[in-house]
Amino acid sequence: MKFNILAFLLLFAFNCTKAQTYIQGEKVVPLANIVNSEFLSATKRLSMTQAFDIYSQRRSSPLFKKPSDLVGEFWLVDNLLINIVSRELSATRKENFQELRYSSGPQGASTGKYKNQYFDTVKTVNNYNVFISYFFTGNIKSFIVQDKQSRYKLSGTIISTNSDIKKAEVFMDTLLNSITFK
Amino acid sequence: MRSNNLFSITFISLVSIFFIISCNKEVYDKIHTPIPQQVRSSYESQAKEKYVEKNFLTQIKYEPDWDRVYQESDSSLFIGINVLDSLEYIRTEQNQNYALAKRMFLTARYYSGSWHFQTNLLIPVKGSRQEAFSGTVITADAFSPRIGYSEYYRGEYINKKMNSIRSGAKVAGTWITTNCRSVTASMGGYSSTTTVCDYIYIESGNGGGSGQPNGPLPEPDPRIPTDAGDGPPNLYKLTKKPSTDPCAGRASVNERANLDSAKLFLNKIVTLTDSVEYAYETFMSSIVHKELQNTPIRTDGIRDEVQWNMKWGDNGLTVGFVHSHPFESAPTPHDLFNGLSGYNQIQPVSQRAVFTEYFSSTIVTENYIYVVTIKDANKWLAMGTNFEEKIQTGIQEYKYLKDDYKNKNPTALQSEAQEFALLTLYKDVVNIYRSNKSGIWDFKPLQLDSSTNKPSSQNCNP
Repeated sequence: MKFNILAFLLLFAFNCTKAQTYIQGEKVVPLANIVNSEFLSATKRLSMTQAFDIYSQRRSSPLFKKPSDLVGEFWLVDNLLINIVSRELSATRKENFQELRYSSGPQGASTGKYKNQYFDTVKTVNNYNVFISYFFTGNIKSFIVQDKQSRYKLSGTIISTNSDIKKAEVFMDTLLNSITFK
Repeated sequence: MRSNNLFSITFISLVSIFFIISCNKEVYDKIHTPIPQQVRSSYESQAKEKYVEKNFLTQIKYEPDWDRVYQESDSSLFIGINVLDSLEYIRTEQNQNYALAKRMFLTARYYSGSWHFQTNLLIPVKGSRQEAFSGTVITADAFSPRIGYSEYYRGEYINKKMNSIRSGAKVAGTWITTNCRSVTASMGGYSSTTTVCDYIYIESGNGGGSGQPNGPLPEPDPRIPTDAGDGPPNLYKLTKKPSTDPCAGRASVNERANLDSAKLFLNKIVTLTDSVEYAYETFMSSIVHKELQNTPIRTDGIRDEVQWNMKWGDNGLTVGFVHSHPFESAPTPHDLFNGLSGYNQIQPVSQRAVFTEYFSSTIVTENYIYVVTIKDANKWLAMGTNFEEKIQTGIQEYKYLKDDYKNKNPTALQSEAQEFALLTLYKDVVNIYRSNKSGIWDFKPLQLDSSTNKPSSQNCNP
């Protein structure tokens, strides 16, 4: 009987631990350890289960079929799902943003022919550089951040409902302005 | 009216040049001499019977104007040319545009028992006058790929010999763009118009003689390959039959990339490492014998795009599209469907099956060369309905999948992430082969590994 109770408690504890996973992925570091942001504190993070529930309603990816497949950390701000994957640059590849512009956008985007469909820009915000790219009609807005000291890379996405696509575009600047590397 | 006057003046200038060359013969009283019917018959007969690889001059759409003929002698005639596409023009180094309609004419010479026709293009330089032409005359055989040039200064013939030039050949002198034309692609309510030009290099006159224009030679256009078109004849015959099966089609893909003439052109593209895309098409000039020819290498001067030219008809059809990415990148979704917009226009209709069977899109990137062939023609062609809408959706998903893959695999190359995205989206539509760019080219089909879900080269059994 005692053994059964112990086993039950262990199983319960294990389940609770799983449900409370807030960060996942190879060599991902907690964002709160490296940046300050009023929107992205450690305490406001979603669990992977919570994040996947929202994510799966807004997008399906063959790489992310269940909560344990997700990578990075998640927040929900004004019904916008924010995913950020933070890594030390030494654990990933440093991006050349100008090169990335050409290989990420639609073919011929540099000529301006897709200016009504696609947006991208490279700029400096606070103490980092950022490459922002998204399709106006898409509900996923992406950004990649590399701090000026070449220590970290953040790969971020704002995943919205289809009705909040424009809101996500506006929030992009607000979110980025809130981020400062420690 | 002004245009007609200009043509007349140019024409008279030309006649003047020829007059000087021809020991100052009196010519003016011979203008408007009726053309012998046999010359016209001979031209039309040759135009009908002869098909040859066209050069940049003779590929311009034009027709002789048999009402504007000057008979210099019984064996020498000048014939006016009407350029059929009014958008055609040439642009000089000084960015001056000259309409071809005012600058082109045909010559007919009788020797060795037959009439020989040459197409000529005048490219004036600064200081050229209507009555005393200064500049370059490009002369091309009307029915053969031969092309050359000679130069004049104030009506004087500078170079004694006709110098041969090859499209894209780089010697010392001046780059010009030529055969500029407006290309409009329209699909599903979306249309895009782009001006496309060919480039050619003209050796500056240094063959002696007086009156040569002074001044430094213009810098060569660094975007143009150094000697494209040199080497083995630009004609190669395929012996391996393509297949929709990725492994069965591998031999054909490798043959097509590694035959001498094909390899020469592909190598040129490989060596071009600056910041714009380069391209050429592969034309099947003999459908019966499966003989291919490459068009000259060119660039539109754009970093992430190049326009395609397709040809079809009794003389063959375009089946291959080759271009480079001047940045680290796998093929894009667009690259898989090059030529799709022209498919429904291919005539005769019987050639459409040849197109889908022999279609290839080759993409030279920083680390790899990719060759794309069609796996399922029905699915590939189905993309053509509402293409813009479908490709937009595909491009978005391609980007999302690429980003997902990079998040999951922190050290993956951009190209690996893009390969994953392409295979996820289009593995049932196309076969994607990849070879290392350096070393011996050995193309193997890409697949998503069943255990890792990562792109990998398929080891086909021999």
